[in-house]
Parts: sequence; C-alpha cells; structure tokens
Amino acid sequence: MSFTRREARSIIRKAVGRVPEGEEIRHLNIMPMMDMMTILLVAFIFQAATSATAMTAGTVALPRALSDDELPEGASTLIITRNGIVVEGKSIVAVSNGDVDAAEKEGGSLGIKIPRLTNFLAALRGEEEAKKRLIPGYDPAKAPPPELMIIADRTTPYRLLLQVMFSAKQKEAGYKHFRLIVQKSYPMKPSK
Amino acid sequence: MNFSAHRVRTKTRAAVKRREDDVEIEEMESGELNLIPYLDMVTNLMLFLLASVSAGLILVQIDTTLPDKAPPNPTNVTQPSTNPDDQPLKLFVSIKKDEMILWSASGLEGTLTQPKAVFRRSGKDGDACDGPYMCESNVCDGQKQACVASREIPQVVFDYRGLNKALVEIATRRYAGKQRKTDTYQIILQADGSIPYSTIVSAMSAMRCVLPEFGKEVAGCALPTDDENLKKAKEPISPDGKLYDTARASYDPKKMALFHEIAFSSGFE
Repeated sequence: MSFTRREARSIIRKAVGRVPEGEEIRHLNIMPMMDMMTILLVAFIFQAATSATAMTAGTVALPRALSDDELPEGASTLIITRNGIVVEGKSIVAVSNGDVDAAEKEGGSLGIKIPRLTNFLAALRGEEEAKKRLIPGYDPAKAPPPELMIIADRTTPYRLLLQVMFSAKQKEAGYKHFRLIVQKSYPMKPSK
Repeated sequence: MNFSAHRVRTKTRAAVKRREDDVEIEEMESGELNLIPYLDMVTNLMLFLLASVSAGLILVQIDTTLPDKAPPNPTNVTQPSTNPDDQPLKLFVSIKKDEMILWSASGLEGTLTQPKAVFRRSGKDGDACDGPYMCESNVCDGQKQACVASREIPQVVFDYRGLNKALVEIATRRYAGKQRKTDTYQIILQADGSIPYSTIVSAMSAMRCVLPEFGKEVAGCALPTDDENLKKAKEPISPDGKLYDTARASYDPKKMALFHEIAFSSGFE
C-alpha cells in the first residue's frame, strides 16, 4: 500500500491535530483561597506553639461538672497536669505521684508552700500591674482583686490543689480568688 | 512520489512526538505556576492540624477562695437573741475516703459528731448515671444510663444529688420567700488530701445551685450581688437571670444560688 505526498501530509496533520493541547487555566483566581489557607495555617501553627509547653508537661483530663458559668476574661492561667505545674505556658515545678517534690516545698514533705510557684506568680502579677498602670485612668484601689484560673487534671489530689492555692495566696503573689475550670457535663440520654 | 505505509507511519509517529514535546515545552515556558504540590501540602497540613485540635470542649468555671488562717475569735460567737435564719450557718461538707458528711460549726444543722447527713460512696459499675461524673469508672453508658467499666483511673464518687437535696431542703426551710442575707451563702469544703479534683468539683457543683432532674440539662442559677447598677434597676433580677439584688428579691432556691461561696479548708488546728 502506498500514499501520495498529499495523502501522507494529510494523515500526519490529522495525527498531530489529535495531540491534546496543554491545559491552561487562565481565568481561575486562586488568590483568595491561598490567602485563606495561609491565614488558617498561621492560626493553627500559633495555637499549636502556645500549647506546646503544656503538652510537654503532660495532658490534662478535665473533670466534668454541672455548671454553666462562663469563663472569666483576663485572669492568669495555672495548669496542674499529672507531671507538672504550668503557669501562663511556663513549666514551674514537676509533679510526681500527685505531689511536688519535698525539696520544692517550704518545710519539706509536710510543707504546703511552694516558694518557686509563689515567686513566679509574684513576678507575673508585677508584670500585669505594670501593664495596667499604662492604661489611662487606671486606679489600683478600684481594680477588681486578681484572679487565678486553675485548670487541673481530674486526678489531682486535694492536697496538691491546696498547696497551689496556698502558694498563690501568699502576700507576694496576692491571688485571693480562684476559678476552677471544668468541662461542662451534658446529660446522657438514650437515643430515640 | 509515493510513500509506503511504513514510512508514513514512522513520519506520523515522529511528528506526534515532536508536537507532544512542543506542548510540554510551551506549558513549562508559559509562566504558570504549578500549584498542585502546594495545594496538596497545605491540605495535608490542614487536615493534620485540624485532627490535632481537641474540638467540642465547652469549659465552664466554679469560683472559690482559700480562707485566711484565723485564731478562734470570742467576739464572733453568735448572739442567742439573733434570728437563726439571719445567722451564718457555718455549714461544712467534709469529704473522707469512704463518706461525705454535711454538718455545721454553728450546731444549727447538725454537728461533726451528729452530722445533718451522711453520704456513702456510689458510682459502681451498673449504678444509674446521667453523666461520667456519677461513675467511678468515669464512663456512663448513655443508652443504659448506667456506669460501665473502663480502663481509666477510678475516681471517688459520692451521692452528689443527695447532698444537693439536703442543701436545697436547708435553704428552702430557712430562706425561701424571705430576703436572704449575703453572709448566709458561705459553705466550707474540707477533704482528705488524697481526694481527687473530680470529686471536689462535683461536690462544689452540688453546693452551688439546685441540680437538674436526672437526665435534664443544667439551667444554672442567679447569684447574689452588690452591683450598684442592679440596685438602681427596676427589677431585682438581672435580665439574663444570672444576678440578683439580695435586698429586694425574695429568695427562691430553685432559681437562686444555694451556698455558692465555697471556701476550701485544710482542716482545724
């Protein structure tokens, strides 16, 4: 079988014409999607970074309770995990078997004051006061008493909770009001 | 001049190959960024980060104080002429390892030796529950509304609803329909050093407000306040029902706090 030059050119042209063109999407504006993705990424990475210290100290299993009081704003946060006490993201003292090491307590194993925690909270309170003084019209006498939010693992013994509160209540730190953070408990009902 | 079929086929293949190469070069040189790998990476990262975020937790708070250590004060003794309902009851909830007792230092609602009420431990596997806080295993089967075994560290559970019922009875008997004084809301919680935090917060919840009926959602209660704005307002209860003016509102234990001023105690000296 043979072809003339014209027939051969026609066959080749048709074959080349069947080769798909490169895909070019010229009118899809993906900038808003990239903006959104980047913002979300930054937000997630920031969140992961801020909770990293607490995670290294151990996870906290919050107890559940029948309460509906909303969380306070502006209070300092203290977390008691199974492995340590963390204040505002900084690990202060280690916890082992539900207790702080005797060397960390004033008076040894029977002591209830944890000086390292008291000193850190005192410094934290000093920083907060200094920031508040920069606000025009701020009157320390009229300001509400400082509050400490306590987030504790459900297995934390009452003894350790008291030690933490006692240390925070010392004159140097001066936290007199405490807010215990719990997970809201919803009634469990049989599904219909 | 004629071409054989074989030659035409060879030339066609060569022409198609050249065209494909040209298309590829055009794609690469057109200046369009290939965003597919970027999108793959971002999507994977997003999924990973979303999975690592603990979702669905609704946090609430219970406030408390740690009282100052004080020596016995002889001037603080209640005068016999004072109406018992106007006196602070000095109620105590003492949590031991095996029982929880309700008593009062004033002697008006039982004493340490003869408490007002004693609550035994509960929450064994199979006991009725409407939440994990009622189970030693910390797991409540929603279908059966019963505690089931789990691998979690067991928690100490008492009859919190019994404690709540006893406190509602005291508040109703002494203060319902009257203007309740602000210093009568205090209650002191003392516990054995080994009692876990989960037990403490469950007992505190039972002291603050009337608990919802079994299986019902918590409705909360109004707290007494000295807020000047509320004192000037027409209604003695705030619009959101969270605060009330004790000087004007008559006490209703179903809507208002029972004993919400909870102070922790480490014991007596």
